[in-house]
Amino acid sequence: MALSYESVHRKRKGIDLKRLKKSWQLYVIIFLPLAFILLFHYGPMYGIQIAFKEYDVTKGIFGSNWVAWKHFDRFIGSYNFRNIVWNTVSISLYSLVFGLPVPIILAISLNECDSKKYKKFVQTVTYAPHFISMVVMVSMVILALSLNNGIVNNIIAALGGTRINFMSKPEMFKSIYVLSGIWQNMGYSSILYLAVLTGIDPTLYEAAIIDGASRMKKIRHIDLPFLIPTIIIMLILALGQIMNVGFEKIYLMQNKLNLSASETIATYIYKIGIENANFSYSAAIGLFNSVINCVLIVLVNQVARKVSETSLW
Amino acid sequence: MKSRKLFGLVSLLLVLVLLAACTQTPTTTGTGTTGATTTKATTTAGTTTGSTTTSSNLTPAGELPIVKEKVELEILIAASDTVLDYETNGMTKKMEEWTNVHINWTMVADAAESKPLLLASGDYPEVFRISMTPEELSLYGGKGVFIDLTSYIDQYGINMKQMFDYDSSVKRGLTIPGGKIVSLPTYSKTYHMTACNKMWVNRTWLEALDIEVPKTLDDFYNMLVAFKNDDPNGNNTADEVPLTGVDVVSWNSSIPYLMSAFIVTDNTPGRYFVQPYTGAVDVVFDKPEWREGLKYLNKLYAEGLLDAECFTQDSALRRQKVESGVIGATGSNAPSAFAVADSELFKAYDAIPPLVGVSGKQQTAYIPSGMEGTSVGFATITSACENPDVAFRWFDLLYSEETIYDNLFGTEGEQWRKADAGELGINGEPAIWKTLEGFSGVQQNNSWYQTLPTFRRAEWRLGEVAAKPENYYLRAGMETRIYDATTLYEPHYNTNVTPHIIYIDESVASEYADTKTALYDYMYTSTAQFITGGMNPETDWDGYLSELKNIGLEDYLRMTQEALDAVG
Amino acid sequence: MPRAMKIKMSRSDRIFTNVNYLFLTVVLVVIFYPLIIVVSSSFSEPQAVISGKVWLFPVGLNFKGYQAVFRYQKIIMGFVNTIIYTVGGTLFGVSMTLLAAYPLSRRDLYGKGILTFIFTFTMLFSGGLIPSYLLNKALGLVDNRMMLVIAGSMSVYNIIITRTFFRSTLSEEILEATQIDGCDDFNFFLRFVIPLSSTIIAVLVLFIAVGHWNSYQTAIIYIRTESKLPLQIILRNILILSQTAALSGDVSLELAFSGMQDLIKYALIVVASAPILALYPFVQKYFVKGVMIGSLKG
Repeated sequence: MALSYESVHRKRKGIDLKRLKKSWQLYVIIFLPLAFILLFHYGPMYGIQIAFKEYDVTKGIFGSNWVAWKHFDRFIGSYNFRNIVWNTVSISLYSLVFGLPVPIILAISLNECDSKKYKKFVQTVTYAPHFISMVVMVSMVILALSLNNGIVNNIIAALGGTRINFMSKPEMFKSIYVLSGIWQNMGYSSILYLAVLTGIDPTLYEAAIIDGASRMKKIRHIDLPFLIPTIIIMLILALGQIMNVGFEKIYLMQNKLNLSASETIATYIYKIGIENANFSYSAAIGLFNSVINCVLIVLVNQVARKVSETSLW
Repeated sequence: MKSRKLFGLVSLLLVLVLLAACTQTPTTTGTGTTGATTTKATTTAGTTTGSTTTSSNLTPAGELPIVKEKVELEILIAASDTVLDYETNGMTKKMEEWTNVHINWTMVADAAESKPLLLASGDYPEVFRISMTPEELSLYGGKGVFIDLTSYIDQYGINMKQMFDYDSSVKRGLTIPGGKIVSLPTYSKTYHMTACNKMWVNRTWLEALDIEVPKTLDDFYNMLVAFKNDDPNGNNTADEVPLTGVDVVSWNSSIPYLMSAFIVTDNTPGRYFVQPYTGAVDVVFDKPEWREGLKYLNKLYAEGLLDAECFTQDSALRRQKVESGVIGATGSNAPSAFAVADSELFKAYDAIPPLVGVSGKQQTAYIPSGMEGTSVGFATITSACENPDVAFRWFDLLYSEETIYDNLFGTEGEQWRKADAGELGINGEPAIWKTLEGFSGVQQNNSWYQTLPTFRRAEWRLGEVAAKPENYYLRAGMETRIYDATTLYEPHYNTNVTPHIIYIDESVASEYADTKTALYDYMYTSTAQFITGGMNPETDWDGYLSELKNIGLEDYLRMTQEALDAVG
Repeated sequence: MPRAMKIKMSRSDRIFTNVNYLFLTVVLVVIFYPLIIVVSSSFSEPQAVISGKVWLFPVGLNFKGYQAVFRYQKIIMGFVNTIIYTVGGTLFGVSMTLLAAYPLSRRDLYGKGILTFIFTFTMLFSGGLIPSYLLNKALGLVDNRMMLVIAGSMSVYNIIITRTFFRSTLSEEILEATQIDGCDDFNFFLRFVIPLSSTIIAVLVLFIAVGHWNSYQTAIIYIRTESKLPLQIILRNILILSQTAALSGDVSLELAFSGMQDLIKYALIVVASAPILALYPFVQKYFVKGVMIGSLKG
């Protein structure tokens, strides 16, 4: 029985029991993960209401007082609101724009490497920095950028330039953040793309060579099309995380001179949190972030659906 | 069919895994965790938690053991590399012998991260040995999550009352709004911490250039200029960094020391109140004297006398510079913070006295030490505790003079000894005690070191046998060295300061938190910019002041004042 | 083919190959050099490390850094725990991910939109830490090793990329062909999908294993017994202790670590990552050639 267009896309009112029955085995297969998600992720979902309440541990989540938008007003009305939201979003976008292509390029480059040994060596080395803990990573960055002895400034001086006090300049903060992130993660992020590229049928390459295609052409016409679905999905997923800039690295890289560029939502919550343990407030901010993430991911997904075959849903 | 069987097997396996996960009972014994559900409140606010069931089991106040029949007590504590294993620790065994109370230790991997969750989820141990902030004490103490200890203190608090007598600020600092005392502090009056913003100068450089110890701001300036230009480290390279520091205002910053010559500046983050305390709360960073100080500091920076990286580097980088022999002076609590123990550079620095300020006198900040915001809520007894009176007496015992050596070090003759006649302490008085060779506060199992409450008087701390004079500049002599450094500052500080522990009323807590955070972020950034030249103390000062006002400086002062007045 | 054209192509290919090698070498140096410094520093004299004298090779080769780290006896215990959690968690997580991703990849799954939504919604919204903690507590997962095995094992992110992989590799023609032969979904899954998926399974193993290896948040929240702590927590505590000595003003603590902070830091990186680094070359062998669509076409 071939699957006809209609049998897959026909819309019917109500539940089509016949078609449901056909998929019963698939439902059995997905049963465990589904149960897991329902239990562990939807079970606690009622906690979202904390954002609209004044959480009081002695009253519990259900018993706490309803305050509607109070926490959201507090956040949106806070002194630095615009700045920290802007920092968060711009850091995310900046990371995405530069961070997405680099692993792809690296994967393609590795795939084109003829020497197996060299390829393996480079792969293992580039994947290693991912395991350096954030605390150590940031201290390495600060050391490398230090004014008089840091390697970056030493190179600049050797080339005849003036030394730069990198960490003191707000305008450099985001670049340092993004570039060090690329350094640390490009190898690890390229693994997925490399897996895809490795899986491409070699006969396609052979056919291309016979047709007289150069390597560049080969990349453009074979490699990239195969990578596109993965790239699109990664892009959508990344945009769906746009408000979630990690706390630790920013906090460690912050100093009093670059605060205007380095204060993000996560570090702000942390600082306020020290003063009073207000779960409702951080829950509200979290919900604020989630809603923005959601809107963005739905938008981008719609665009992806129109423009390509790949989309999240 | 075969595939179905296989499939069924795999599913069964996974289901078994999940079931195993959910039905395994946790191995910790929480003798009092009532594991609150979301709807039921575990606390019985207002109910007297002094259980009467154990009163017949209790021995009279002051006697040991504490109970006739063994009682169990659960204490939640953070895993640390200080103590190897609380269960088998030497002090644990001794305390059980003395008090007849068996401790069940529940461990968390990271106190700071677990604490909010434990508090918010209602999952309370009988005793928290995790530091609570004043805000948490006020909030949860007010709700009865941390029980009121006042009646126990009256009945059984023999040693704690001695602490109150010794330092009158303790009782005041412990009392939360509403008059209750809900926490057990740790108290350690550390003489050398009372003057945290000391300036350490490279003695060998002073000698090499034949300069005297600077007395005034101008002297200091001239010294830095000489450091920069006259090659004091003798290597024919102009690599000297005359003055460095870490961060804007911290224990390791050079700013507070110099700023104090203009207006006395405490170097503790968040505590920039005018000293001495007049009864009216005020801050230092909007005053004309502060502005003058900024101009002076900016001059140092502009002329390359102050390290361009002082606001961006961390301790590690500063240490690297010091050890490379290029640093002339730096602010710090002690040389152990900026140099490697026993190195040549470690020995090279001496503290210098406070400079003569614009008032014509030497002036410096006083930091109370003893009980701070970090130690006021050191331990708390929760409403989940079955025998709070026993728990209280157990802790009170730790404040006594008899248990202090076992608590901190271990056994006499093994980890510590009493001083011999004729031995002198750090303060030059007859000594009281000394730790023995091989004692370390890291990775040991003889004592609790500093992880449980203690009551250490200043004189007791200074009663440690002083190091031999030949070791003065080595690690063994550190305590003596920083004692001597502090004596340079003591004559010039005023101990009347704004109380450190401030309980903000719950109704304004959010506004206070928001305002304070925004205020200090702006103040730090501006200060750093004034000094580095991003902002000009001449032209941008008024804009700075009006922005402070805009953020809510007056509200901040008002709320702080109200909080202080409420306690009285 | 005209000879002229042939030569032209190989030249452009040669340029490409050279540029490619150059690029890879630059990347290698930029990443490898700091790592060499880290490793060399971990084997050097403390004094040399502090004054920044290590620039390529160890200065004063010794093992003091490692001795300092391994003096922490809890490390062995941490290692064992982490291996348990990683192996268990990877088995569990990979299975669950495959079980979820396959049905979602089938275009003929009735209700797949709803199912996909149910999964992806959780990437955006969550109830928060408190309700999760209470739920897990009620299920008996506090201070339970199982918690560290199952937590974070099934991430929707992994499910999505697996689903993408399935959609790219498993064409409908293969499915139909087997269905004609009477193969049902269970059969197809076990006898075709799994064997054809060694690449994505390898990727999942790597991602999930690494996730477990590096994790510490869950342990911080749920573990109450020291003997169950994973390696990362132990290492993190050592690092924090040695670093905060300078911040705490605790002079005796500062002295205890004096000079060793940097050395310990570098030795820790090596200890923390060496075992898992070995995993990648191993896993990479399973990246199979030619699984992408085209296996039925000519």
